[in-house]
Amino acid sequence: MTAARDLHLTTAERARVDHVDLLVASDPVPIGELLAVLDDPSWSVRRAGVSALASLGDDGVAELCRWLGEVRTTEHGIAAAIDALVTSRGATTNAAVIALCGHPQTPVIEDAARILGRRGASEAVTTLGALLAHPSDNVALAAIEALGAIGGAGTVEDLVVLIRTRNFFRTFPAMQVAARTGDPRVIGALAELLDDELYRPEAIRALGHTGSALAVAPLTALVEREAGATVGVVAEALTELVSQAARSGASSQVVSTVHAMLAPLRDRFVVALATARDRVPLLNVLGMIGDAGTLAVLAGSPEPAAVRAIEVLARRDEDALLIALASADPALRLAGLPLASSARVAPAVRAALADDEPEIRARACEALARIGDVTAVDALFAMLDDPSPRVGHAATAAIGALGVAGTAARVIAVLRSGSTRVRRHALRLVAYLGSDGLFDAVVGALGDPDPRIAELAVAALVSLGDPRVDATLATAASSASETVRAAAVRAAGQRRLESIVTRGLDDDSARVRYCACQALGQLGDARHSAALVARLADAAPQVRIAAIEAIARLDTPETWQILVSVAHSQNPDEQRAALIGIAGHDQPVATDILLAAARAPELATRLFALSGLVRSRDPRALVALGAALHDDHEAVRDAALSLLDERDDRETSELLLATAAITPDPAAPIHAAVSRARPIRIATIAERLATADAVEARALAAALGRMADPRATAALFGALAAPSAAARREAALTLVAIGAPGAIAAATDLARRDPDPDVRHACAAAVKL
Amino acid sequence: MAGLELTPQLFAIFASMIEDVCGVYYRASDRSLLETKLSIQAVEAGFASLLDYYYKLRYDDPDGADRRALVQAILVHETYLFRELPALEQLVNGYLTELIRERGRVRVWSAACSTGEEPTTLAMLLDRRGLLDRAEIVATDISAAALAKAAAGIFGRRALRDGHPRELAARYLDVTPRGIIASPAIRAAIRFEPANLTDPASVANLGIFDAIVCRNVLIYFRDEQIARVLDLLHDRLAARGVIVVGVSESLMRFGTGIVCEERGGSFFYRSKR
Repeated sequence: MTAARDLHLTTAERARVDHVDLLVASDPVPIGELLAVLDDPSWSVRRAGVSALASLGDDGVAELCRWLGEVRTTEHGIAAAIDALVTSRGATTNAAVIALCGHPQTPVIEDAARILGRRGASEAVTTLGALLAHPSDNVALAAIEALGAIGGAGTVEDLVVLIRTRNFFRTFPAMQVAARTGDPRVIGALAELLDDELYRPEAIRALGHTGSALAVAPLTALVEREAGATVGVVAEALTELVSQAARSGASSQVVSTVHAMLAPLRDRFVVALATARDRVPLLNVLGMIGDAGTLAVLAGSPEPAAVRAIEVLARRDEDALLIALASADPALRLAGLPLASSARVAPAVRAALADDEPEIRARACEALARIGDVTAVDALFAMLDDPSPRVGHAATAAIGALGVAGTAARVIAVLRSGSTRVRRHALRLVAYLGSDGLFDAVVGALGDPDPRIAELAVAALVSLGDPRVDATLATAASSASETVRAAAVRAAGQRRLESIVTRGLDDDSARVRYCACQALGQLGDARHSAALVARLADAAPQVRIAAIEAIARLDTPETWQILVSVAHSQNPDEQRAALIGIAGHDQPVATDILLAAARAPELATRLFALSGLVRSRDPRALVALGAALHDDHEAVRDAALSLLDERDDRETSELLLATAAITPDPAAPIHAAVSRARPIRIATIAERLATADAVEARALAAALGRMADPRATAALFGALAAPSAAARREAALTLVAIGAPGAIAAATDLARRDPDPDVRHACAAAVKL
Repeated sequence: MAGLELTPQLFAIFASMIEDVCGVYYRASDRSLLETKLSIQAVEAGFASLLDYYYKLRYDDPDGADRRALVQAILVHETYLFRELPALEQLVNGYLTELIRERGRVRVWSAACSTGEEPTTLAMLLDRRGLLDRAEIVATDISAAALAKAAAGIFGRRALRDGHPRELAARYLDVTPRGIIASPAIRAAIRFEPANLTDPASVANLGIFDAIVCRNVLIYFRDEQIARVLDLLHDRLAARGVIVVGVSESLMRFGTGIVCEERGGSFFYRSKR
């Protein structure tokens, strides 16, 4: 650390920084001398002082607070003291700074409020709430911002009072902070400001930030009486509203409300679109409220947002989908096809099989399978000759999925096609259908002049139950073509024809030996371990790797030693093959190797290692996976998250919750992972929710809401009787937001009977009592 | 039926291999897209798993032909005529017109031209000003298949989008059932060559250019790769030459030997030499 720091320091600065290091190393630490460093003219030296004071924890807190309250020599010294208290790890720091909020000097209170906000000190919410009414606007503003940084709805009613004061300096920030609590009590106050030109634009945006379906009504009323630019601002707010509602899994309820209330006003949004500078929000709204008539407007819009809007619209309105499918714009046809799922749109989908765009033809094949359009089978067989492999494979899959009677007979017919493409796809269908009556046709294909056809024919034999298959495979294993021999050896492995497989190990072709190693791995018989070990000296690297993979399936002391040895190979592919095998052994040595590999320079090796660690019960594995959530490489973070998501245990749930708590972006994948419905995850969240404070309760209740799972909904209902008032409030608000059956009655009951007034008021606002 | 699984681990392996071959970097969010593309290539090549396919490409492809074929098959060729037209108009009507007046001839390189829509647009713009016979347009791409399409001068219907200049289209393009066909003079004015922007040897014989148009290509590269490609382009640039990149691309963060200048709302990069 010192070396990196030195790069930017003058000689004199370096000497003073070194002095700070010496002071920190002293016993006892001379805190007074460290505090003097806060006034150093050099930012670098002050930073060293800030770090040193923060690292003292509780030992430095009292002196820092005294300095901030009484000394306050220079502006940069004050800034440094604030930074030190913000980063202090002392257990008493929050309490000491809360005490500073009672200081007689307003600048000190202001600084204290800012520190508490930056520390995210949820225990300061009551104190900060009291500061909202402070006579100094600066103090009130600092308190509002701190409450915004801390989050939660602990002081909503105080913020609502501030909004209603229409005090220029307090109302704007209060609107922003109050709206982000998502508490329904703020909506009425924000709606009142829609009549005031000064506050209207910000009030509209704030309504969007609430993420509450209750915000749609005042915005609708505004669109009814206003036109022009206001409609664009409302569209921005509605877009944000849906996005925020997704936090608690309530976006579909909000979209439904937007559609129900604003659909009659869609023309206003169409008009606004013509002159808007930012068209995206308007397109988003038109997707939610448009009808088939709106599609022409959207289709003429070049932005990707228009295509997304059409997708939203077409998902809801089949007339619109039909228009999209018949559109001259290929982007609309592409967007529409994945939405096609009913017999009514099947003719339009069949027409798309003749499209110029291969991707459209492929999606049409997929859609026909989804629709179950058995009348399309002839057309799909015709698509097997499509020049695009993507289309041919989609048609093959669709024919297989539709599985109509007579498919096998058609396959036999097309196996005689003059088109190589068609014959290849036909053999893939054979492998899929596995009908014994196809044996003769498949054997006929073994003599096809196209080498891939012969190879596919061998592969297709595996799926047939005909007694002649094994003998045919034995013949194929002696073919002059290496691809046919390789296919035969692979097929022999699947049918456990040991002699064919072992002969393949000595084939001249590396490809055949590779397949033979793989096939022996499938057999999983320790008697073959010597033969496989011999292949570790094969000249072809891929054969050595296949041998390692096969050895990994043989659980013997000898093969374990080989894996351990290969885990240190210089060839990353060999190393990774060994890691896969090692991952199957839940023992400390295996974990050691995987932990070391999790720090390998090759990204793929790290990913293999992490993947192996996910099954380990060793606590170090969880720590490594947790660290990988913060890796510099996005692929590692994503992989770690998806691997952790596979584990449903209390420790993993706690780790995911802790990571989510320090990840403010609601769109970050960690929040999606936290809200994946898993029994233990639900139980862990529910348990923590029961005693959560306002900030945590909102996040936990939202996570349960996003799960859209009956067990999670039950946990939310359970939280209505939790000891924590914040938990009861957030559970009730979330249940209402996601439209859970019985939620209104439960919230109404809380609005009348809950012992906590805050819970009663929030619930009353949610059910509009 | 072609759907083979691309695990995050395999994704990392393939992404690294593809970047080595052509510089294009697939991000984690592109995994599903790459899975679809790779699956088809792997199945068509006779492999039942993507790991088998990877070993084939890694250890049984001595001259790299299979890797190149894969890259050519999966690269994005999505482009269209008159794309981001103002920058090209500014290049032709301002910079190149001045230079031709001064020197008589110019050389222009359309780098990573895909199926040829960009150099075709450039040729049309130059011809409209009567300057086409004073310009040498060299268009390159890594994909032989894309270049073959480009050389044919026949574009799909999507090559012409809403808002295109109808006067230019009517003058130079023939919309037929086979597709949109550029006029013979426009096609003849463009020389298509294979070139890999991440391989200096493959562009060494192209010569020096007064303008290099390399648009919507660098967005697919990582910063380290962009810096290398910029060095390569810089080496091919005449003393007062300019590089034109896409509207969403900025080169300012690379601190290479180029400076940015704004011309009529478009940004060009000029050598500091």
